[in-house]
Amino acid sequence: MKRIFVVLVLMVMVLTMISGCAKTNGGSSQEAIKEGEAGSAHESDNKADEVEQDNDEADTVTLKFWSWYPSGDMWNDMISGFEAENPNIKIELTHLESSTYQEKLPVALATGEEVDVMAIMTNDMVNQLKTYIEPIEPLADQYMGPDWRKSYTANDIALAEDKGEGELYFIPIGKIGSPIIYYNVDMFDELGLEVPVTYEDFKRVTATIREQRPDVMPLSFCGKGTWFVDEIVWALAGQDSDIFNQIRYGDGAFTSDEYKAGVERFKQMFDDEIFGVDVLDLDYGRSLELFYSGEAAMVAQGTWEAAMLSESIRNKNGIPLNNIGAFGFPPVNDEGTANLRAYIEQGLAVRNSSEHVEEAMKFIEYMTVGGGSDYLGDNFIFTPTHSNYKVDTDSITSEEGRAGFDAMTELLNNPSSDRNNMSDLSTATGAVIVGYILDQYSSIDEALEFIQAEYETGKYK
Amino acid sequence: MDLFIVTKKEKKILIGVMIALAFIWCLPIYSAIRNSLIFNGIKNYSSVLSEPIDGIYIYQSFFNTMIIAIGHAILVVLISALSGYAFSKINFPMKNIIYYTIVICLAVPGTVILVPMFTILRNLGIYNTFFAVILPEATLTLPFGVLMMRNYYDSFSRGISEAAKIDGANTFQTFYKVFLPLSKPATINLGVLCVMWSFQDYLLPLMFLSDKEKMTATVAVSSYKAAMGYMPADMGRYNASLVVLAIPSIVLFAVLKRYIKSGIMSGSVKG
Amino acid sequence: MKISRKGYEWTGYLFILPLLVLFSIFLVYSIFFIVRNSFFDVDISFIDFEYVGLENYRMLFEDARFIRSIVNTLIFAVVSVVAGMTLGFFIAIAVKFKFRGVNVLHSLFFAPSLMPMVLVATVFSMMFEYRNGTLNVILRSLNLDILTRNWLSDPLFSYVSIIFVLIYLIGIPIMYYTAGLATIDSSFYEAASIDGANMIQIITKVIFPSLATSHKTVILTLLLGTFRAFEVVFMTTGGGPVFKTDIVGTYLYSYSTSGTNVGYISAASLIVLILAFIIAMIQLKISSRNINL
Repeated sequence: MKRIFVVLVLMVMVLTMISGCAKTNGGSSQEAIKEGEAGSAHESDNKADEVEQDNDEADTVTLKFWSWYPSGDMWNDMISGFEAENPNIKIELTHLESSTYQEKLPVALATGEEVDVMAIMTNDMVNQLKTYIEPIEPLADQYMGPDWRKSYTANDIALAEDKGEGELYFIPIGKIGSPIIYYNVDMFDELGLEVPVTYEDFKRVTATIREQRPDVMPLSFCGKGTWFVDEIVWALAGQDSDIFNQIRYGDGAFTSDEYKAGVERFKQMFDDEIFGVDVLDLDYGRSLELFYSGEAAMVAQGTWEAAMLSESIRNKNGIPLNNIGAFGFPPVNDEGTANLRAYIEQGLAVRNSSEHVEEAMKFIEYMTVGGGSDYLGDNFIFTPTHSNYKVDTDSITSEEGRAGFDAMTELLNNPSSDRNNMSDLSTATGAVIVGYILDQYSSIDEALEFIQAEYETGKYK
Repeated sequence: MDLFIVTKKEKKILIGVMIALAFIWCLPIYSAIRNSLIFNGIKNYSSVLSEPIDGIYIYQSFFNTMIIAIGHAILVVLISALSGYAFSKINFPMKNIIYYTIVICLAVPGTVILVPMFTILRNLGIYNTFFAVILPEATLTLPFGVLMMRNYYDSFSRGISEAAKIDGANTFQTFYKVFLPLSKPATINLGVLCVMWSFQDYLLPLMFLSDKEKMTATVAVSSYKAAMGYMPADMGRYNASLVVLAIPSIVLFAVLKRYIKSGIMSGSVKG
Repeated sequence: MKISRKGYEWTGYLFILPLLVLFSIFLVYSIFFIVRNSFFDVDISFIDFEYVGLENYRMLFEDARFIRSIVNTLIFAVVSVVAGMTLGFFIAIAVKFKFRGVNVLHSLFFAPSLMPMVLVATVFSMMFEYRNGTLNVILRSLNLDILTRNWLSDPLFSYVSIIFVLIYLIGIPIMYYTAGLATIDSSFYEAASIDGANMIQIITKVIFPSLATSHKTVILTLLLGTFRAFEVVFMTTGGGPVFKTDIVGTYLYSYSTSGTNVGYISAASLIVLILAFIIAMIQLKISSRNINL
């Protein structure tokens, strides 16, 4: 046994040496390649300039672009729009599912894979990738004109600057918030229900559904992904405080009365049978599918699902519901207000080694103030950061849908806190709250102290 | 022939218990088929088979898995045969220590080495190629392969190699001309097992392949769900795709059952 | 045949060279990587390294979720072993009897273990769903509503559900026992039945003790197998509720995916690896008595 260990240790040591050498070699050779590439690209650029006078087509530039959201099909739509406006630029899209994206983008950048424009998640990703990103402010000054800031909602740009600790590394495409409740208008009409304003209304609505339609789940949400439990609790706590911001940026604590109120309100909703524990094994897809198929009367989700308010999009996607409306979580206390947390979502950044900065900025401009931005807004993917964007509400044909959209926009513009999540922490917090709902903790204080202790370990970043 | 003599009553009880168990074992199969027929019935299948999902046809994912499986099998069989032979028939310094060090690595769970593998694959520049799955898979399978091949070569006496030596063959010729042909059954078993394990592998292709076109069948199991959207009709299609994704493994099992069984058996550590 | 120490053939190293190369690059370097990084605070971009000593290990051992994931792994392993040695053993014997359809049954019990685990687990997770899952639907249609459960989100029954999936994957022990049974001379059982022993007695008192080698193989294979049973938990409960059903695989994965804390995850990986090695060493020690180590 001992000898096996000795051999293992020896092998490790030998390898350390080998890998050490390999690394230094690898490093220098990689740089050499980079220089070589830059040099040759420069040459070809010059050549291209010469050729340009004779032949425009030879000058086509291909931008490599990475994103995770929205779907690949939607990106292809936007990219064709951009390419139609800029025939000399081709976009090559790499589209990945979000958790994969989070892992693979850093790896791809570190491996030296060519990426010109990348979508940045508004979690800690920008700090993780700083070394690969060109600060965007000087680029914007140069390529979009000195007044470029006026095209964007000031607050959204300020949030993006905060992310980079004062330096602007990306331009956010839009804003999203969570949670909001979507409801089946036909079912509400059939049962004679109104959009609930107070908590008492809300209780009555769910009780009626439970009584009249026992086969229907009153309110569905994806309880299996505990991060969404966390979202709901923040909104409930946010009905009369900005506790999320206090904890995230200040010295607020999960053990504070404000947060505790959120958890207790959430628990109360289970006790009042607004939710049932049967939401706890629903994943994202199932929670929505129940709603679409009429097996749930309402579904809580983020504003990123707001496309379902539009009739044409419903038809296109085959959602069999006739009419959908939306409202915020009604305040549990009389003094509280319905609210959600909102935050900038998906920033576009330029890779610092990119050789096509000008084209990259053109693409970013298109995506944040041009056709791409309109497309995302009109499809309800984000509320664009573009300050002059006006939503095309024509696609929302019903009165309830329009009222829902207005309510949502109102909430988005007046969020209780930033939706600036630490995703691992959200999952963990949500799980503990589920534990509290399922009586796994002797008291609420025990659960909250546990969350606070977890938060303080420094594991979550 | 029964294993031993039992009374009629006892045999009835035995069969009864087996049938009860069989019902339970059929439950997931029933569930999968039931779910796969919701909304559009059998149309779910024709849609899954004839339309690309998330931009790739389901056959393509089978094909990708097959490439990885074959690469994995060839690599493991070659390396295991060579080193299994060496550990069995060649006497070299530190042989046993190296052998047991390798065998102990049977215990390494894939999740443990995910993060370091990232760094290694990117330094080698093979991230997002089929090699990024084949090589780590082979590394995790090799301890088993070496163990199995050594056990196999151990069953031949050293006399054979002595005889070959007297005939003037060098060590490599002895291996290549005498022992390798002798171990053909074992290499087939091992190769089949490698193919099966590649068909089962989920984590490595999930983590190390990012191109959609390179998606394997197991990764399709989880990624189709997100790709198909959340419409009720898509749920049926998704479940149909699960059934379709099971087919290659069932076929593989039916055709190669014999090799799989004798392969797993011969790889157990012998007392 | 004995060969003196002078009879070394260095060509042996040529034969194992490919093996050593692959191992050194992928496995030994990986182990080196997690050992080194477990002392640092570093993320997946590997830009800022900060030496933090044993800080990662301190966090790890204070993390009840990590400890529980190890305990759960061991519990699930023990459950698999017990199921293998009882149910697997019984099925292996039963399929040695002659009755119609016995071969089909044999395949039915064996085949799931050869399927991709992720597929089996996904099918189970759909089946266990509270509202529309096949299991509860069947129970309701039999008017057994009282037995319906939140199979995946109830703290107790989520455990039961995972155990159910693990038992479903019983093919490997069945196979070891079938092979073990084939090595025993049938006259051995005949003597017992002539002595008047009944079926249960023969199975428990005669056959069970005679398969000592098979038992050993089953125990050790399943112990290590559970360390690799990531998909079973990941695709059903996802480790929930409240991380109650986490195993080491899902724990490591949950931190690996964000890539923000490579140091911490390395420390956790190392502990898990050492545990797995300890089990493997015991396996070697038990199964190869005459090895000079």
